Amino acid sequence: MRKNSLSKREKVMLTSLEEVMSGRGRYIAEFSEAFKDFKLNGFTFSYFVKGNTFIKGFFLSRMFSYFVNPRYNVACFLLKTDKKFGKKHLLRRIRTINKYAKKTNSRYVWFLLFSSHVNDSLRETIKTLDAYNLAVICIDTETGEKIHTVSFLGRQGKSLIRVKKEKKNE
Amino acid sequence: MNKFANIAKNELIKCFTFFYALIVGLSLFLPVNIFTTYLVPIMGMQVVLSAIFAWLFYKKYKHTILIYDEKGFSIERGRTKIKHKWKKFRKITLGRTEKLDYFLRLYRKDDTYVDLPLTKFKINPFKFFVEIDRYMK
Repeated sequence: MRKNSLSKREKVMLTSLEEVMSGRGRYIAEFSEAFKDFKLNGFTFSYFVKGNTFIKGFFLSRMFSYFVNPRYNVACFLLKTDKKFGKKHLLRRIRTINKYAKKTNSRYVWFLLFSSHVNDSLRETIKTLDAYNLAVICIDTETGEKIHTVSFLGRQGKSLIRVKKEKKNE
Repeated sequence: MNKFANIAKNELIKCFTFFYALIVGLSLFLPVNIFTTYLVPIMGMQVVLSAIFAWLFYKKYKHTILIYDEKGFSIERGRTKIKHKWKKFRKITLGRTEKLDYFLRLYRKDDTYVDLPLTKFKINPFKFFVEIDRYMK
C-alpha cells in the first residue's frame, strides 16, 4: 500500500473513525457505513457514519435485541476544523445536523470536531450547549484537550475520540 | 501495483473436509481384511491425499487475488477475473458487517453497487478507504 501522508488531525480523525465503527462505538450502536466528504446543505463533513441501535448477533442475541433493544437510527459526523472555526460556524452546522436528524429519524447524533487550536468562543459554546439528542465533542489535536457537551451523550462520546500513542524509539 | 492473495483458511478447510469425506467413502469399498491389516497407513494416505487434492482444488477454483493500482482493481478467483476502473464509480463508502468484516462499497452512477471485501485480504480498511478516495478524485 502506498504510504499516506496524513496530517496529525487526519490521523486522529481516522483513529476515531475506527473507534466509532469497531471500537467503543460498538457499545453505543452499530455504526455500519461511513461516507467521506459528506455533503449536507452546502456543508461538507470530513466523515459521516450512520448506524442503528438494533444489535444483531446469533439467535439468542437477536431475540433479546428484538424484544429489548430500541430501534433507533443514529449518526456520527466528524469534521476537521481550524482556529477560525467558532460559535457561528458550529451553530450553523448544528442546525443542519438537526434538520438531517429529523428527516432521517436519527434519535442520537454525535458531532466530533478535530481542531489544531480550539478558540474560546468555540469552547464556551460547546460547554453550554443543551441538547439531549446531540453531543458535540471537540479535540485539540496539539494539546490533546477534549471539550464536550455536559449531557450524558457528550460524556459518553468523549471515549470515541482516541489519539494513538506514538511509540518512542528506545 | 498492490497484490493481496491471502489464503482463506475457511475455504481450505471446507475443501479438505469434502475430499476427506470422499476418500474415506471410497476406502470403504476396500476388502475388509486389507482395510483392517493396513488401517494406519490407509488412514495416513487418506489424510495426505485429501490435503493434496484440497490444496489443488482450492488453488484452481477458490483462491482469490486482489490487485489494484491508481487506475483500477481486479479480482481473480479461479478462472474468473473481474476488472473495474475507479473512475467508473461515482462514490465509495466503507461498510462493515456484524462480524466486523469490512468492505468497500463502490456505487455506480445508476445507484447499484459492488462490494469489495477488505477483511478477507487483511487490508487495513480505514487507510484503504482514504487511499481509494484519493484515486477517485
